[in-house]
Amino acid sequence: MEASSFAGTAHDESQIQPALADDERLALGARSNPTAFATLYGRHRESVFRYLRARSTNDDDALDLTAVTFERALIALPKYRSIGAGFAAWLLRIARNAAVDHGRRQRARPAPAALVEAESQPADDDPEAAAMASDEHRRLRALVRALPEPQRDALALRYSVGLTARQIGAVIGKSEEATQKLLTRALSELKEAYGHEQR
Amino acid sequence: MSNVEFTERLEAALTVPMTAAQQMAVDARVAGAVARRQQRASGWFRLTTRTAVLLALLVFVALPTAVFAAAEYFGGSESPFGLAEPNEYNRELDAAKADTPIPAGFTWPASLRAKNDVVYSRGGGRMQVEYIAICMWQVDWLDARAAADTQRQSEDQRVIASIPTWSSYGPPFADQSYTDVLDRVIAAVGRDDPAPVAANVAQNCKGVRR
Repeated sequence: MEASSFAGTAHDESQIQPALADDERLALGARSNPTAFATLYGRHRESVFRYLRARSTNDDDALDLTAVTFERALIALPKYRSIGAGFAAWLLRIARNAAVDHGRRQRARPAPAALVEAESQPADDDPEAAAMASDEHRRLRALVRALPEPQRDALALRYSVGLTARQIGAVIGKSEEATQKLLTRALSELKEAYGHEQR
Repeated sequence: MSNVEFTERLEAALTVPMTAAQQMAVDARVAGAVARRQQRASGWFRLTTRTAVLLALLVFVALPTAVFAAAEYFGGSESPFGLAEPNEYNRELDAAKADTPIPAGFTWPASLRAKNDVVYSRGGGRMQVEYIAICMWQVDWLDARAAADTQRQSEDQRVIASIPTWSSYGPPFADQSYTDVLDRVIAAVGRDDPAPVAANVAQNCKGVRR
């Protein structure tokens, strides 16, 4: 069935569990052992950035927000409690809140249609970043950003970070079942929009 | 297009890795954030842990074993790098740009500037500048070779061979894995073998061009 094949891609829970447990150990240890924070930072820096880039209109914003996320995590870490979804979900929730705060400050910014154009223009002052993104990648990311926020978040967390539906639910505040439905619907809409662009 | 094919494309679009410059930018900011928190000496970040935190962060960011080399080099328990406010960091970038050679036709990316309200790790600016310059020389050598411009190729080779004398190659900046990469590039250029250089440019110098 096409719809369920969307939702079932990759991400085997049994493989994720050991990493989760190790993160939990480090996160709890980081309260008294600062080296553990460095390990967590090294482990999750890329994921946080990818998630934020999937939400942001440009890489600079994603970089800023990545730094903000870890700064906030640093402050909140002593209060960290394992809630079963893992440290990554906790951290990405911080990232999401940072992105939402940033979005509120940028409310006067262009609507989604304009965002496609904004990203398709390579940034003159960041040749590395500009070269990294192929046209198709930029187009797909722009389409993801044009989705309603819950769908955009779910897809970004699934395909840029590799979270399970349960973990995504913990980040966006929905049940696993509701998240699964959201993912399926979001992928269908995204694929349709992508198909329209291709025609 | 099947759903599997579409999700593969989507995953590819959303998992493009950070560039080295982006990594360094975030590393510098987070190291600064940690340091600022240490300076406030609140919560679990007591003064007694400040060196450990900063060093530990740096271990996982741009300057792997260099940190330990630096600590040994400076012989003290305080961070060997210290912190730089944006103005100081910009001065460091400007100084490094002024005395770091780059091939004709290349310009420094405008993004190579400090952001306001961010504290940076002192010394990171020069490393950023030299890292980008080294990429430029490799790109120029490949271009010159492709164009059969032997004079330019020879000049590029001379500069690339001098990289071990650059600040970022030695303590407290470089670790073994970093110098190993550069050594392979230098050796490949020396024997006129473009494949390892092109592979390194593709891997570590994405977007560096005229």
